[in-house]
Amino acid sequence: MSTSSSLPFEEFRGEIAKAYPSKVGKKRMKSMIQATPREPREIQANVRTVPGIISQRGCTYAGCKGVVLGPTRDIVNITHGPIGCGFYSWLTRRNQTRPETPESENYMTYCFSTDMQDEHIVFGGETRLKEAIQEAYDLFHPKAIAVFSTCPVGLIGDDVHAVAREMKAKFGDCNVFGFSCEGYKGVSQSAGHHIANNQIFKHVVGTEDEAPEGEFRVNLLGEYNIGGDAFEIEELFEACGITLVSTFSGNSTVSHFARAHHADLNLVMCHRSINYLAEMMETKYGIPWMKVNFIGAAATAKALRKVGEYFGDEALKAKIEKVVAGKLTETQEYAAEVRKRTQGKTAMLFVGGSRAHHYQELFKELGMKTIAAGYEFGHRDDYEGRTVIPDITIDADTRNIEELKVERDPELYRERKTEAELEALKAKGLEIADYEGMIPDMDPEAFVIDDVSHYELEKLMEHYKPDLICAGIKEKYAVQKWGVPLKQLHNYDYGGPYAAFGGARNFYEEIDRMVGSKLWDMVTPPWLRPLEPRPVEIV
Amino acid sequence: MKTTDTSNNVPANETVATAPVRPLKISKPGRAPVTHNACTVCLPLGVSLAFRGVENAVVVLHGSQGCATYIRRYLISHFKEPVDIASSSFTEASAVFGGAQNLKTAIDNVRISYTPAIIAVGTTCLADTIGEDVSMIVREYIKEHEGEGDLPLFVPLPIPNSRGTHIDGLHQACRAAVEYLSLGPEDSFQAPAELPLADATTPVGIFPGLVSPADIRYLKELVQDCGLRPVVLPDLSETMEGGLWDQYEPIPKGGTAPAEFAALRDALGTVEFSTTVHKDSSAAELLHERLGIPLLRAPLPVGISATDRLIGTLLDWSGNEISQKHQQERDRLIDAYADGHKYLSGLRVAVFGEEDLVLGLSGFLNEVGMELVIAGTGGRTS
Repeated sequence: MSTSSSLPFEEFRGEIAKAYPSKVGKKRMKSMIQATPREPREIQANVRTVPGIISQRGCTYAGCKGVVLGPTRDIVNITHGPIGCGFYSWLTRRNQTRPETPESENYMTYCFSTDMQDEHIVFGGETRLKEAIQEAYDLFHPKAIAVFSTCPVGLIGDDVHAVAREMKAKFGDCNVFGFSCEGYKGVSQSAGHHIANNQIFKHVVGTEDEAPEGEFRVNLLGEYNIGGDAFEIEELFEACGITLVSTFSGNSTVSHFARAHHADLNLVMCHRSINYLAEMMETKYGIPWMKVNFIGAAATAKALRKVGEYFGDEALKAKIEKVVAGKLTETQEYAAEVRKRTQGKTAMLFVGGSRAHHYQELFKELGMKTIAAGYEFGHRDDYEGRTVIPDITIDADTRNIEELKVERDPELYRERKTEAELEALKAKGLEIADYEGMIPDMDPEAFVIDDVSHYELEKLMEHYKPDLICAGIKEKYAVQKWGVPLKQLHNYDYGGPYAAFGGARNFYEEIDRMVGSKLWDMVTPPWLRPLEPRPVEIV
Repeated sequence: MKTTDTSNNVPANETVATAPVRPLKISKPGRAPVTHNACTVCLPLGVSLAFRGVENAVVVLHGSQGCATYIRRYLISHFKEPVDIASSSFTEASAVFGGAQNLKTAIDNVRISYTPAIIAVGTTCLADTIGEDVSMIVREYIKEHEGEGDLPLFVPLPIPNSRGTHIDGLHQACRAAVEYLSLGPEDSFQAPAELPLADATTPVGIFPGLVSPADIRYLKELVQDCGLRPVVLPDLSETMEGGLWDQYEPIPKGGTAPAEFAALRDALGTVEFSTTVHKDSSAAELLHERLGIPLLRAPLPVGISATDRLIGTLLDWSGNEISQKHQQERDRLIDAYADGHKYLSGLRVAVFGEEDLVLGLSGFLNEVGMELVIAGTGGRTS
């Protein structure tokens, strides 16, 4: 390992870029900055990956089908395309769900595809798609069927929306809607999130009148119930007397979405994947939204208190304090125990559009330092905060995705809070319709990098020698080949939950196990180790 | 699937097909409009895996970056090893106007980051649908970079994705690798490697299809013990199951080496564990057609009969006796069959998976007295 960790940021960045052709190097340099808050510097994000550079990003279809719509259990999701795309996005273990009864609908363990063949590419696949929708309807009689377009569909001109409309009219009791989420459409899966938000807003939200009972009604947006996170949060809300109308989309049903307009507050976890829906619901129904984070014990307490503050009800606040008092101390005591072993260790996080930020909270609680972080599909606002949104360059890829024109609903709009009330809440530190991004929360020395490539990750490891890396399956084994443990934060290595208080405890335990493992010390056998004088034991 | 005699007296150079003894009802594939819970993945996965077993090779998939990412995600989770696959990362504009420039940029960047000896260029549905000709783009690239000393060998794989499964992709990629790296393509613009044999033992080609790295290590040992030199394609034995690194390996060590590709030309025979893959997709058939190399195409050797046929053929070719080690192993297996029979006899089993795996397992299940009640594959062979 040649690089010294004392190399200043600028030089180190230059060294990373040096290995690329100069044009590529210059482009990549713009995606790497230091997290110095006093010198606001622009990070390049959400731009196309250079062909041939191994990125961890997925496609538009992956973001639409796999991330946003996948975790809803009673929608039959049909992939219109060749078999691969449907198979790869088969959600068998990652997102959890709890049907009300064992007989209740749950299609998440199924994978449906039109399995397009040559003849459909040549002569069009609409007929086959209609047959597929009909067959799914006949087999399951689901409440909703969603159709996801893959690359060839857009190119051969199959109109999935027209087919969906026709079938919906034909069935009468099944909501059928389509997504033009062809893989090539956007820079990353982020484009797919936006497309999913639009269609769910257009076709589902606000379609059921029945309002759920409850005094303090909220929606939780951008929580996908990986490893059972949503269950933890649901439990917490229940204990506090907060009514969860719907979660987009962990442990959700299509009816939850349809009734979401009855909530009085939208809580946004993953800002990147779902802020569109939060904004549109605010315009149409008058529901304010607030950024929260339930990852980390202190962050969870903070988020709950913010909800109490928003509703301004003393009984609710007292109930929240009671729940927090019981759980926070207990969790912090456990963290203190683990911290004896984790204090001073270092971590790097390269994941998602919010997790690279949220999980820094948990590491802080363990006394661990985040020395580098970056998103896979974040935008500038996820790094620098929403204040930069007006300055973000709108490129062809962004223009490609429909911006819905949303207006106030004449019947369903209801003002929850006046402008003045919202301003007062903001003054109290509530992130109302705002997100400050990852950078302000980071150590000023930390390295921030967007869409880290395989090669760059290797350079960062060589330079910083971290004790732990958090990323996904695509990085996992390459990192562990170096003897550095990698915790997957996309699917939690099928562990978890890590949200809220109970989740935080699980995470401390997991990190304790991973950074304390003796396995990596055994890599070098004794015959390859330099000779050490050994005490001679005489029996 | 036709039912044939599964006896051991099959001529070595004949394509052999076996099926479970009880004729199964075969439903016509591709009929159901909605396919649920498929047993197959897409063709580029097979292509990518095949070249993961070729020494110093990198795959570039021409199309949307999601294809490379999904395939990586899937292969990495399965093998628990790093797998790099590059992509030409189509934009909407490339989808409309063609992605040749993207592919060339991708090749440039792969050459810089990996300095590979071989670049295999596969296609995806997107590239197929808009009619991209990867062979032509590769030819253009070679022309544009003529004379550059570090220019790798290219294997273009213009295989339409909507015409097969991952297994078809794997076999067709192996055939293309043999064509380009052993024989030289008919419209040769790249000469195959001319390398002397490092090992004097007579080579035998093994095209195992989709088996595990441990299977491949065992097959190599078996062929060696029969007095022959195994040339396995794809050779995933080290590339997809390795230990820790002391220095970064952009491309993991191992895989079928250039000298081994050259050795295939002098092979005594080839064994391909597939009876379902079409003749035009078979590497063994290609060597047979072009060089008259005898071949054995058989289902995956699971169980006594199928393994007997494999070992019998290898011994026929080498003229050697079976080693005591393998004879003893066979004896122990028969013994285990007898011991296990009372537990297994008559149990009803469903098997699903790749066609040749299903055939191989069916043969084995039949041997141990289990009753195969349903066999499912996602392939189109009938």
